[in-house]
Amino acid sequence: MKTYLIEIKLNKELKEVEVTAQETLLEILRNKLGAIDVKDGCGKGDCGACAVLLDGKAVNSCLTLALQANGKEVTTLRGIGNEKNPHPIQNSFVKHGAVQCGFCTAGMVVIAKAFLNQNQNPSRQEIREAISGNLCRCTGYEKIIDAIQNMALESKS
Amino acid sequence: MSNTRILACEFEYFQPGSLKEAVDLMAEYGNRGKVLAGGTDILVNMKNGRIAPEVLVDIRQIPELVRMNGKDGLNIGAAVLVRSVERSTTVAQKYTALAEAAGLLGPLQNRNMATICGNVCTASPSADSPPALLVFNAEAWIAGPSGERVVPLDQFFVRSKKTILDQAEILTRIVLPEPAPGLGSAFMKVARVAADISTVNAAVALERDNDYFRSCRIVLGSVATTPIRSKPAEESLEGQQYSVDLIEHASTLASMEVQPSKRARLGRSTPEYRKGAIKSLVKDAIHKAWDRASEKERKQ
Ligand code: FES
Ligand code: FES
Repeated sequence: MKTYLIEIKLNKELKEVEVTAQETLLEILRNKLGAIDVKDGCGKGDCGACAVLLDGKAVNSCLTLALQANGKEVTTLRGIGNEKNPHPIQNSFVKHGAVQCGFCTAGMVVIAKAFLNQNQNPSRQEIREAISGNLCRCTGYEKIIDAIQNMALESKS
Repeated sequence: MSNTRILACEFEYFQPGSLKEAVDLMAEYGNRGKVLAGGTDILVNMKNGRIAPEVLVDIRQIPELVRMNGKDGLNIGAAVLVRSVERSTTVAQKYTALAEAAGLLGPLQNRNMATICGNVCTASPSADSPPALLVFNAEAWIAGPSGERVVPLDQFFVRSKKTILDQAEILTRIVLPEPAPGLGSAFMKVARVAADISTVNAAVALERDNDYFRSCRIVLGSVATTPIRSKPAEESLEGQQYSVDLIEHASTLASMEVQPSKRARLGRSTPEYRKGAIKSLVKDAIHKAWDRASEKERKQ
């Protein structure tokens, strides 16, 4: 099968990786670049667990071809914050009990980051809409919305 | 059940740098090729095993197709993202219904990936952008092996998932003419949650003469196998003086467009439900568009 050498900037680090046309960005992130902080949920754009930032824009990596990411910047959850240096959004998720099993959390945080970049003062309804492509089977969403809203409020004060 | 984790079928991938190259590729591969834009429909269909193209022609890098131009009408290139249309101030001011439809087309990340032209080409009866484009008399610009052709968008849809596009043809852009000065418009939809696929949707664009309807366009989605313009509803308003009863009557006429048969197989709701939903949706959309038309008048 024909392979291509592509270059992506994964969480600010330049990576070269060999891919086929069939591989999605999600597959190479998890299987070839060890970025298992990106979650593989439905594989068809319904759940948002695989969300990453591609050149700063939130996309579902399961519906993005690896080849499409060539030359681009990919930011995953760990590029937003990690154990040592968590992002305020992550702290807010912890503080508000917005994490239960945690499967949706990576995607939620990525989407919250992209959304808050563009809207610093969101209403609950706007947050609901922003995370409408991210499914959570545990929390019932309210605590996730609390976390995102309070993060916006705190960072302003 | 298919495995949606992987793209099982093998295909070749091309990223042409010009429209000419893309057209040549599609001419060469014909029905074995597919144009790829946002990928939110095509890649899902490939993963589900519904289609298995041998060649994907990715048009996202083609400079002339990523452009949107709002001078003298609106020109939406085939690779223009839904999100860009939603955030354009020109679109919000002049083509309000389209900005609203774009904003409701799906979740944030899908709007960052999907394109307006892709939404049109997929030709799902429940798609959100077609009604909002049709109320502004949109035109489809199509490139193919034998040159370019321009078709009014209302002739573009054949039936569910089927358009007039020939296998080798590419929809290159959608063009909306400059709207009449006082035009007001609105798009609304009913769905389980806003980002969901529409149960029904409706777009309205109208012009006023003080208290009278000068002209009105009403297009409904998800009521038949293609988007439908409700001429009886439009005609019942034109030249008439604004009244709540008049609008009530027009929305009843619009609700008659809901086609009884076949719809059930889409499995989302019954025709009776759709009728009721269209009625209240059209009523609200007319009121909204009416208020917006008046705001514009006052501003001038
Ligand atoms: S895994 Fe990508 S949206 Fe569900
Ligand atoms: S915390 Fe379990 S899916 Fe959201």
